[in-house]
Amino acid sequence: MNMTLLNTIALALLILILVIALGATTFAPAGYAKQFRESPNSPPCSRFLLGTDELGRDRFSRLLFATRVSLLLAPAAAALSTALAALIGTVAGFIGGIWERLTMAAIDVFLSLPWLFLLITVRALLPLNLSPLLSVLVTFLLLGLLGWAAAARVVCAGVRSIQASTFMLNARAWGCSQRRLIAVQLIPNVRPVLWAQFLISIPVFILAEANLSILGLGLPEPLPSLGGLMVELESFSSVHAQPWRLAPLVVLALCVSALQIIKGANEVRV
Amino acid sequence: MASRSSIMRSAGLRLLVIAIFLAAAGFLCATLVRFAPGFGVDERELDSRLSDRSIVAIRGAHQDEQNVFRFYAKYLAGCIRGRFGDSELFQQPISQLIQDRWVATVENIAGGLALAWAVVLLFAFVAVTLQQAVLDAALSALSGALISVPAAVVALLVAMARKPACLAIAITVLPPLYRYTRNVLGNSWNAPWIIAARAKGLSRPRIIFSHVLAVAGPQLVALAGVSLTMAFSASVPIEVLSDSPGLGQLAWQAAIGRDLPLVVTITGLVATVTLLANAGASLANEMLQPA
Repeated sequence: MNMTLLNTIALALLILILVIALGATTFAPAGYAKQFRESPNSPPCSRFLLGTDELGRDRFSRLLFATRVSLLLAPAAAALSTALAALIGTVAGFIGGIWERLTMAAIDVFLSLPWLFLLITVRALLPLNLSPLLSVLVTFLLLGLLGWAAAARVVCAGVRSIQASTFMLNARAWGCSQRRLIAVQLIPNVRPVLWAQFLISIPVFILAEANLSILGLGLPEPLPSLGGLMVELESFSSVHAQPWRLAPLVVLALCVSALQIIKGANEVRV
Repeated sequence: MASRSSIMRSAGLRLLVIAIFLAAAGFLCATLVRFAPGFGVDERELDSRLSDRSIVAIRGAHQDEQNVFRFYAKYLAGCIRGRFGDSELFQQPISQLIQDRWVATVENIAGGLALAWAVVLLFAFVAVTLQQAVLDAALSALSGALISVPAAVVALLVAMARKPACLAIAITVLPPLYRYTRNVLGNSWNAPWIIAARAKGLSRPRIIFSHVLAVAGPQLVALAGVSLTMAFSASVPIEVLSDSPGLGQLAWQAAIGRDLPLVVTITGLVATVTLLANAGASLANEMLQPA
């Protein structure tokens, strides 16, 4: 299939999912915490499109709210990690010399660390009485703070190559100040690299949150997230009998695949 | 090939950076542990049967842990002697717990990585050498689909199929490894001297072993170090969900039970292993680079 067509389909799918998720309060038949105590574990029907969980909560409504949480906060974490990467990578690449070597050594060390061990360590250090909203923010803040290293290395390499370019040489020869060099020459040229790194980080953070939530270290109940909803998959026997429990996994795989395709198309363009 | 002195200098610099990083990270963790909620509070203090003197004695036992620098120095000295303290959750020495669990993790990771690398190299070579657009697209789509599934879900599916945990690690590590390996081999396969060798009619095995691997080898060695880090990260959800008694499962149990000394020690230990492995892989990469 043509890459542009595939990219368009992926983008359309992602926008559709995003619009539905953003309008969760309108589209969802019930609130994410609302319990229908008379019908726990209900199969799909006209009232409950994906049935209800064991606490009688509408799975479809929870899926919409969970998608909203994942699709809003993963880009926020990606923006944070890209901003950190931009700052660290640009400074290291622009100054060069020992600072660049030290930064690259630190990045190498950071990339060698098993991030999931770090995440569960930091999560375990947090107080138990955090409110659900604060817990969401802290989870994605941690993801953002831990995910800058790979992007910083790419940004640093990009800045280094821009530094060595003829237009930068010309600008220096014309007596451009350092501030003007950064603002007018460097930043506009490094922007495509940052955009690509931002796109790369989003699916990584969505998957990281899903892994944490399945392990019980993600978002606290009753707040739903795609990973949190997948905890239901742990009862193997029920998945065979109730395949609609796979809906969060399908939505997550669709979102991540769409983001991978868009990222791939963007890399080609960059 | 890089000179001996430059390799020694590079190795020294890497070890220095790792030592500084581990000391700083250890201090940060010790600080976080020291100021974490509930630190230094012994639940025996709530026992109404104990006298005031006993309570004072219990509190006194934690007195030297109040100062974060003293706490860190004591912890570091213990680590150097191989004593990591006791687990509050399991009421056992941490070193004993690690000794009991590391074999399972090594088996899972070694098996998973061996399987993943065998599959990756096979498919990457097939995709690169046959140069069939449909096959290449199918393999890329398969790796794209696998990369979109969280490691925890892979672990669940593997456990459902009653297969070993190392298979889940292999499936999780495989997609990113395939993408990098395919790119590295593809670049080598299309290098001008390899195109010339193909045009001269050299056999495929000879081109692969004598030319392609000579160019791609250093990058693949560096990738091997990165794959170890990926496998360790994947081991946490996989060991938890497939009930494999390894370090990943122990770290998760410690995190859920808020046994901070245990979770910090395991993370420090795993980080040291992955840092050293990656430093070794990077050095090997430098040594194998053509001059």
